[in-house]
Amino acid sequence: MKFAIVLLFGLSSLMNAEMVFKTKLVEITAKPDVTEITAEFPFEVKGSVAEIIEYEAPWTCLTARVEPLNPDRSTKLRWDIGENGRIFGRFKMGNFKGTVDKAIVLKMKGVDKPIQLVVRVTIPILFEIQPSTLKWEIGETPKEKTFKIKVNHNQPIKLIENSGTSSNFPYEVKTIKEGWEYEIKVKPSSTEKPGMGMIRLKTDCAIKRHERHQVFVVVKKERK
Amino acid sequence: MKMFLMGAFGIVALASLGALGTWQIVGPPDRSITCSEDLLEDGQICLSEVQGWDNQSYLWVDARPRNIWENNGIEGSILLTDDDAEDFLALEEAFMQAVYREGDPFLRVLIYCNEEGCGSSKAIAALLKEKFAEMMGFDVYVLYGGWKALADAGLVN
Repeated sequence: MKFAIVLLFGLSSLMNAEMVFKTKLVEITAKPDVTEITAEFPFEVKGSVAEIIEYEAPWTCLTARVEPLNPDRSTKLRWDIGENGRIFGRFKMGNFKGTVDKAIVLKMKGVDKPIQLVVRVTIPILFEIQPSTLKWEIGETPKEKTFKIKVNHNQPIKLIENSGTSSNFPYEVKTIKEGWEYEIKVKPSSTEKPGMGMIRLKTDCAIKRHERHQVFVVVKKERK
Repeated sequence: MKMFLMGAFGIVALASLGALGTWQIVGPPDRSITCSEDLLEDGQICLSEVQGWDNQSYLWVDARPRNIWENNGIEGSILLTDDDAEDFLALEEAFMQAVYREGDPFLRVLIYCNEEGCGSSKAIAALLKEKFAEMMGFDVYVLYGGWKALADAGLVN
């Protein structure tokens, strides 16, 4: 009888995966020049056996690993009750500044909803432009509007090049404090017709992610 | 004990036969995306709601890598991804050209990624909200279920 009970419990345990993570969200504030970040998600198997059938980090990851490995160096996918391990991810940071989530997805045997492990990375914005877009409604008085630029870094970042894409949006770059603060003043020639332009900016920032910037200027229909 | 064991195995065998029969008659389990209000996170939307909108009111944004977007992105979508291989400023410019629509901007921008685990759509949504949404006058949504929801609805293949 004991055997039968054990057998039934054994069968039912295969239906459920109980991989308990200390956290499913790791938050990291990265340096401005970071290109890769790593994160670990320690876990313990509780209640029943856990079996990973698939693990991936959709497109945004260099590697996702389950550790420790089996003695033969293969990936350990079946975990018994009481065992501890970790999921390790190494991510490429792309072009983003600000806050971005990167995820690892674990599909477990007997569980419909995959486990998501999220790494929330914040990369400082060194060359801050407010706002990113200036707009005028069609027919609005074409008065001057301003982009304000502030450097949030421990050393100056100089604005070294600028170019506009539309003659309808003449602009002037004003240096408030070289390397630290600028303004771009834009006054459309006309707001009679819709139009869009860009102002491209290049800085002397050595960190590639923060070197180039762009802002938009538009004349558009008024929203009712 | 023998009787008990036979009984236990009998139950398991019957349950398995039942499951097999159900599979044969009804088919495999439904793994399609089911969306409801209580499942939605902040900023997400169900495809069923989108399908009630005028299709001229929204622009699709695909947050997956270029090769996948080119292979099976929804018609009319724009690529905007945090993929390292891309020049993000160029993608941003193309997006702005598309959403601006000759001075009559789209009212809504709908972002999709894959089904699960793709933080890209949320990151793109946050970026668009912060940089452009208010000035251009559009709302930003992330599609619940992502590309899989579009595929289940037969909108992509």
